[in-house]
Amino acid sequence: MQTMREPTYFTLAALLDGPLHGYAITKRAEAVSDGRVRLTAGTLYAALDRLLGQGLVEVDGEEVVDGRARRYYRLTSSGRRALAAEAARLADAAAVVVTRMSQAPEPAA
Amino acid sequence: MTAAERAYRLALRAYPADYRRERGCEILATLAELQGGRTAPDVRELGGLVAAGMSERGRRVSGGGRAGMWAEGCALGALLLLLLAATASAYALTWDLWYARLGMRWPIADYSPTPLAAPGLARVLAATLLPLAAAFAICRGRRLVALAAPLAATALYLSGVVGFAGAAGYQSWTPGQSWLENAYRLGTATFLAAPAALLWVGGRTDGRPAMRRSLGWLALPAVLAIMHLAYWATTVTFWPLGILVLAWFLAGRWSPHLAVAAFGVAVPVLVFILPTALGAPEYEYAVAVASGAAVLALASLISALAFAPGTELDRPPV
Repeated sequence: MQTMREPTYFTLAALLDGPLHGYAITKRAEAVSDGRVRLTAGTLYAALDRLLGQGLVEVDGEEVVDGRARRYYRLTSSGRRALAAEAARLADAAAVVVTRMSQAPEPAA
Repeated sequence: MTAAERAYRLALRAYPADYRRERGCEILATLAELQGGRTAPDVRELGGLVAAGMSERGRRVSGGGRAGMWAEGCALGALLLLLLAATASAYALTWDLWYARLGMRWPIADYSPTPLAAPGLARVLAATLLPLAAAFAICRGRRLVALAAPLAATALYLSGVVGFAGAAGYQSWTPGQSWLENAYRLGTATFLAAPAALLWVGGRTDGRPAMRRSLGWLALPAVLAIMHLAYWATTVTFWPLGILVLAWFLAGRWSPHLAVAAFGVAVPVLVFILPTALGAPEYEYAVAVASGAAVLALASLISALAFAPGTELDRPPV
């Protein structure tokens, strides 16, 4: 499987706790990434379109708040699996370095 | 409507119309929430909308993807160059034949079409019909013919057998007196060969240009010829190009491949007219060079946004 781009990864991660609408996804993605991932609306909807197309995310429902249309998105079970697989891959990649880092001698400055 | 919303609505036009109908309101609602109480639009959001909108358009051309954009852009650039070449040539030949009939000399004394070795028919064939044949071949998806015809035209020009309508009038390939004259002729040779080069570059990508395209493209020389009647020679070749791109944009059919095509056309045309502009500092040439530079600048900006790493251009169309 192709590795996930960071915005995609954190978009999926943002939906772990339940369905969210566009604005809430950007805020949640920013929070779970420690402020590193600041999705623009353009990036967010491009990612959502792709995830919808791949069946990793689906539309949960729509409502109108303050005259604005909100569409909620939720993680599908295959979305959850893809996210878990990517998290495991990242953890493995990190573990390789962390383990070796403790054994490898420090390079001379 | 606030200034920010107006700016975001304008940037949303980077998306295809049906996408805007489907998603526009939702994206604007999200932007309004992201905006909070600020009145000025967020430049980062504007850039994000334009980049994502163009990626969305790009995905719908030639199966999408960067390679598809390059292949389609190169093919379109080659087609436009060939149509420009055919028009310039037909226009100059018309004058040539007309003046010959009247027993007069070519109006630009320095670039007289008279030592042309070949008779009129061969000149018409080489200078006008070869580019037209290549343009037709591109429209019908005949790559080999499209590659061979401009190369044949270049070879005939370089052999000195036939002349060609350069930016400075109708000339044959004979070594000039000055470096500037030689530059004119090298520019013409580059301009003639450029479509083949573009097709070759486009063919080396993994993308596939459209196999067939409308023969309506072949009507473009008629439009160009009318513009040529209004202003002499090839100095205004950028204007029709600009109008074409603008029309495409207004028709909502814009996509990043047009930036590639604009590059492909603007560079050879600049090489073609720059020596003339240097040799004859007249306002028409200055306008042509300036508009060429503007096309390049715009194409660079759009390419930078659309082809930047991390955009969604490589996503297959859903």
